[in-house]
Amino acid sequence: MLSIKNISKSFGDVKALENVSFDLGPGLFGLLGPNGAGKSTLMRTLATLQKPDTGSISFNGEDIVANPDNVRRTLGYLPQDFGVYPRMSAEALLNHIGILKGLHNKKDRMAQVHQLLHNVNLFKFKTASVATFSGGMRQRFGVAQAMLGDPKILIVDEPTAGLDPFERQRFLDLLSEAGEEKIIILSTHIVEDVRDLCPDMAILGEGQLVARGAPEALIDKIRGKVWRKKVDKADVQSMKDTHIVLSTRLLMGGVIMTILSDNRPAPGFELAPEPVLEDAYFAHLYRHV
Amino acid sequence: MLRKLLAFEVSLQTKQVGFWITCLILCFFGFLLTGTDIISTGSEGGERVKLNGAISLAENIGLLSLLSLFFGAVFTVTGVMRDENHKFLEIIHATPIKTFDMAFSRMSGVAIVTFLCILAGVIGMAAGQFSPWADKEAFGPFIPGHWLYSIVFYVGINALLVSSIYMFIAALTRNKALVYVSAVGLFMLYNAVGIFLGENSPDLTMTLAEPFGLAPLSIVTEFWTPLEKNTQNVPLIGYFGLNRLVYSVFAVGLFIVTLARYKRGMVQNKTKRKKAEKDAETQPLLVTTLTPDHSARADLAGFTARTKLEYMAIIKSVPFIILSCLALALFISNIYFAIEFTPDATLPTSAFMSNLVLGSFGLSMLIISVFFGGDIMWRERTVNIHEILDATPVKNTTLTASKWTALGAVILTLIVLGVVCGVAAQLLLGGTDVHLGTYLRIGIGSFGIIMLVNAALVMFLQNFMPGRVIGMLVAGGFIVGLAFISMLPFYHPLFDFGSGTTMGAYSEINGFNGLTNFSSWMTYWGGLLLLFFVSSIWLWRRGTETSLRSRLRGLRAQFGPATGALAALGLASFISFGGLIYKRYNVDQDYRNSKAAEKRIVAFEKMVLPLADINTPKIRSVEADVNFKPSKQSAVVKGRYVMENWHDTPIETLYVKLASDHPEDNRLVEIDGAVHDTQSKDIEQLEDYGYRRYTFSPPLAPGATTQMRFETYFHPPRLGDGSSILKNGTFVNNSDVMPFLGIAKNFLSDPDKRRKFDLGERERAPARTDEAARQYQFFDRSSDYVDFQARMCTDIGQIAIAPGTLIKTYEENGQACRDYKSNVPIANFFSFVSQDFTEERDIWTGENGQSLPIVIYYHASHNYNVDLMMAAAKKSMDVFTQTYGPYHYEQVRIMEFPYRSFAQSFAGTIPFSENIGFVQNPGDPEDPESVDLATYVTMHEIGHQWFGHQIMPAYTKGFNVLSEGLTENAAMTAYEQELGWGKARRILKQRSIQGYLTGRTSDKENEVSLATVENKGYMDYNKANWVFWGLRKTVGADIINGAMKNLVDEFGYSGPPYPTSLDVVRHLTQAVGPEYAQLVSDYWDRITLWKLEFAEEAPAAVSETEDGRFEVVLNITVDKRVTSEEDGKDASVQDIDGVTLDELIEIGFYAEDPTEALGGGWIAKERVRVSDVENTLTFTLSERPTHILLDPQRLLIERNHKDNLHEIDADLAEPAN
Repeated sequence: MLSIKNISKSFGDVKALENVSFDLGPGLFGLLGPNGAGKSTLMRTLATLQKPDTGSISFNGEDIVANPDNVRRTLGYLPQDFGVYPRMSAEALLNHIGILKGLHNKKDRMAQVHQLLHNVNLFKFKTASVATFSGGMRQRFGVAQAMLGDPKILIVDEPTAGLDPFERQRFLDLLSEAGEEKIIILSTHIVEDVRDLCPDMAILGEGQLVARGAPEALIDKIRGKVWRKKVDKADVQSMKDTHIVLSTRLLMGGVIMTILSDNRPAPGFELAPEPVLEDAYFAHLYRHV
Repeated sequence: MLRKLLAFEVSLQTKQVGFWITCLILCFFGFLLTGTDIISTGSEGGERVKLNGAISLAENIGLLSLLSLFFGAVFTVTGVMRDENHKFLEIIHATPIKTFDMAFSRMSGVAIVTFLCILAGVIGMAAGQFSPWADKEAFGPFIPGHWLYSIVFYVGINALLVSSIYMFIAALTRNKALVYVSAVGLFMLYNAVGIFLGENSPDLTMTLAEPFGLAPLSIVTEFWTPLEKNTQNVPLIGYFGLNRLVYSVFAVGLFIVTLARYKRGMVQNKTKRKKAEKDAETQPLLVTTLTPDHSARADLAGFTARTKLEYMAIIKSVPFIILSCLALALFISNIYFAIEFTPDATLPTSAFMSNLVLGSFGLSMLIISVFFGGDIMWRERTVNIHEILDATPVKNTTLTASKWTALGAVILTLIVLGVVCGVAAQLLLGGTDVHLGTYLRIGIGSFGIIMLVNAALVMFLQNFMPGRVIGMLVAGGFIVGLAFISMLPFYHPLFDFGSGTTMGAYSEINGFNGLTNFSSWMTYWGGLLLLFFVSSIWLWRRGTETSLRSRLRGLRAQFGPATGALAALGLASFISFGGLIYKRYNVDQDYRNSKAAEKRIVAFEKMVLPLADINTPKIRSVEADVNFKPSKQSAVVKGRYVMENWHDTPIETLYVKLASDHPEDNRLVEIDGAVHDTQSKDIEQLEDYGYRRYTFSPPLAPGATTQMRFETYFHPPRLGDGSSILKNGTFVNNSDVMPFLGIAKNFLSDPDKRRKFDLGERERAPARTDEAARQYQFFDRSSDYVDFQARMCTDIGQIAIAPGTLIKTYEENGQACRDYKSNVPIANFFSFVSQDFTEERDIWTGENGQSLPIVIYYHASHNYNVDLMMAAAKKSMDVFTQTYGPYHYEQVRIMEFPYRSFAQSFAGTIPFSENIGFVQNPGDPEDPESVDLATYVTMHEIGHQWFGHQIMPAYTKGFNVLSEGLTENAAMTAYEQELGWGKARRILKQRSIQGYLTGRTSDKENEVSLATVENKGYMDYNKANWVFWGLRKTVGADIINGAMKNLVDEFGYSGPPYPTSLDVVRHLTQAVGPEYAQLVSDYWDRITLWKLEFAEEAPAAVSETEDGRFEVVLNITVDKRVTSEEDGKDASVQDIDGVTLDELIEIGFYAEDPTEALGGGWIAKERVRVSDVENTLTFTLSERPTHILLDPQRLLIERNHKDNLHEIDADLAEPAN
């Protein structure tokens, strides 16, 4: 059980996190938020790379801010952006990180390295330099290194950014297979990542936790309030001034506008029969729920 | 557009903090150079060579421009590689700016800011003149032309050259590291050329090989007098102009090539990206449960893996390989220089080779520390893997320790590499035994430890720096700055990071000589390093919040019992040993840094000057009882002087300089009839200088004698207070271990320093006609010749040697003792030597039937030249007894001693250091290129048995010429008889001509005539040897040496009045007759420089005569110039009254170029006397000459001998009608 209590973090005048609290159990947890919402700050804080200004984080009752070493022993972390040592093969680098994670029995370690390379489908590139990998391969390598040592907490920070749809899907599949007894925290700004995978999620906006729950639960809160209509481009601004517009999407010369409203906002708007997570995300993010 | 871009570039570059910091540093450096005496580049300042004279400016500004090697590389990286650095390349390179405009503006921008930075240094130099600390006498008038000249030819060309080279490499490789490495390469190239600069390297090659124009400057101005250096710029026609032309063309060419090759767009990365495979399927991401272990075993595994990774990353990196190759290249060039190029080379012994190889590697090791220290400490952040690594459970301790260890291992790898190369080179060169232990001892003791200490400093600094490059600059600056720290007025070695962490000098005889100091200093600095290490762990950069402030905030949490204990240990060693060192240096002894020591000498002079010249008795006999305990490095020296008041008046006061600086160790100093004055007002100060005053009561009557008994203890080496008694190889002389009568005028002699301290001009030696002065010989004022006997004991296994005939050898109280007694009185100048010696004995028998043993005592493995030295000793005994009369002692002993590089002659005993002679490569006796110092120095020292011991010069002007100059003449006479003209001519070139012509350019006082010089090596040895060579070859060796024999006959063992140079000149003039009287006087009484040249028109023509012979017609000019002793200006004799041009000139004719043979191998040599400046001379030869050389033997003192050679053009050598 990972328990985050009232953590805040500022960088100069910028408040990256403000009084964030939540508890996490095993399973895949999605942390959704726009760029700059404080996701990476939160992820790095959980990964013991920085300390909160105030607040506490504990894992199974143990304070990980004061004693980062303890959680590092059960931690797998895939940073948003990472590089590798030049001219070092995937196998050698995993092996190296494995040693640092305390896998000092060579035979067992190598077995796990190979197993992970198979899992992430990089086994046939095991002797190739990681520096030459494509983006997707590199992210899969990232998962493999994070999984080394069978961590209890797996933190992956915006892993799908910049991946093509195929690679992205494969990456998410990998994660979903990672095991249900682990706490897996996935941060992303892509709603689909969470929708497809996470039984539990939170939305972070401007450093604050604005929503927490299962995706379905978040959607439930706006069920029956989401209206859509294809409008003229010219009308968009006036609608925005008078209504809660969740999203606009260009479609063949017009704009599909989604509005949150208890009643039909204007003639022609149809009640969305099944609101999607994206609607719920915007609704929560803009604090309309 | 181009103008705008250029302006943008320059303003961008000049907006960088780095630019202004560089400007500021250089400006400050320039200021220190001229405005203070904190930094000196060896370009003499002072009264004679002005700091703002043309050549000093050229040298200093040239050196300043060399610094652009370092910051130029940084500007290049920020200038032309900017986009790569900031990942901006794709955007910029896609704009419509023309490639040419972009490239040209950027490259010019780099060149311009490089130029501006050096200019800042020049401005600092100019400002230095107005500094309150500036020595006003060191500046001449401000001449803008001199400044401008150097700015154009050094700052301008070198800025362009350096930036062009870097930009070429940057554009070609787009690899930052290679740009930085090439900086090192260029610097090493400059260094390597500097090593080769000397008379033996071909001037043209040196000119072309050195890119920065300093080598040709020193070639051209080598023999320039101070006056010329102050007033004349180095001429553009000649080597200097050639060099500048070649390298400006090269720079511009490189600039253009780079411009043409400047490409935009992405660089093609050689490694192909892996294509994602489409068909693969993901498998469940399930891993076998493996419980990570976090025991000490895991830490150890982590440490090993980290260290290996860091180490291999460096070892395999291109910069490391290049730097190692550069070190190797430097080593090879050093070997080539030290072994092949140096005519008096040292044998490649293990000690010599290990110092040579590791010395060559030293610079690379420092650069590697600084560069890779930064690389290691920032590796994870540079490649951006730190977030992954820092989230693993690996401990900060593991990370810190592995990084420190890796750099240490890299340094040790270089040491091992150096040792391997050294051993390989030694085996290849052959002739000496490889002692691996010597390599390892020197590798660790002299180089390894101090390099590791420096590397640790780099690692520590990097931990606190905001960036890798800044860290490298700071660390590099720190290490360079340490080299200058001893110049600070408040200097103390406790502040001098890493001081005392070498084990001292190394000798194959006695090992390291600094072990006592080393252990304490090492503990002191080791404690500090431990603190550095622990604080690096505590303040390790971990995670993503790494500002020093946030790290300090988390400091408390980092403390642990293990690191705390280590820190406590470090702190305890640092403080306790710092305190101990301070106590030993400053409380137990009066430690003084060089500035404070100077001030003390000044104060001493002011105090004792009124006391120094009072009448002092002379010692008539010496009895010594010397007891060495080499195993303990201690000694007790007892003795007795019998002294006589030889003055006409009673002596009331006697000053005695004590043998030990520690008052309590002077166990006994007792003078019959005199009491130790402990009451007078000034006595405390006097005793502080190591002197005592004794008062005779009643006063010592004229002619009366008295006795002095003394006993002094010499302690084993202590921290900061070494011992001159060595475990093996002690050599001390009487002034080291016995009290001295009177006050020795050891005052400051440097005229610049005397001016600084308002001391007035130094006291000159008395005039040669001063009869009172002639009562004193040159060793001291308190003796003539003394009866001498000594009893010497030492550890069993060693041989104790003092002058005199060996009377008895015995063992007593577990010591090996010997009694010596001199058969004749000797100079009051003798030595005591003790070592585990091997002996080589021989008997010399002279023509007159005299027969005596010659023994060479040497270190067992140094047997290389013992036979040669024995032969040289016997030959000199033959030559000198036949030439100068009998030898008066009953033996000749030559004793090797460790560490130093000189030999010294005492009566019948000659201590001879290991580094000259014993491990010298004497070269092939047939090869005129090599100099056989083993033979020459042996002959020189035996020569002193006549000149210096049989005749002792009076202490008047010119005194040391009678000792060293006459001895050089003797040695040269014997050497030429033994080895021939060619080898002697080589020595003349090597030692004398070069020494005199360069020595006179750097004398801080005005040059005077040879006969009146006061103790200046370039005259006493070098000019004297040259003059005697000229005299012997012109007048005849027998006549000249006959004159010297007459001198010995007149003054040998005569006591006062002692001879002066007037007596030398008198005997010479008598011997040579009126024909050569002017020559003698030109040589001895004036500063005469001849100038011989071929005329520009029709220098030489050869025609065949009807009888098959060859008529040679020469047009030559002959001038003789005399330099004023007052102002250093020289004038032709035609413009001086009372001197005439009437010169005997030799002309050599050759069938091949005589340059290699130094003028030897003539087919004919003619002598003519000329009295006109312009002369047409005709000779008839039996063989056709191809080369004609004026003054082929260099009998005349001439600066430029290169233009004395004329090669006859074959086309013009047709028969004349």
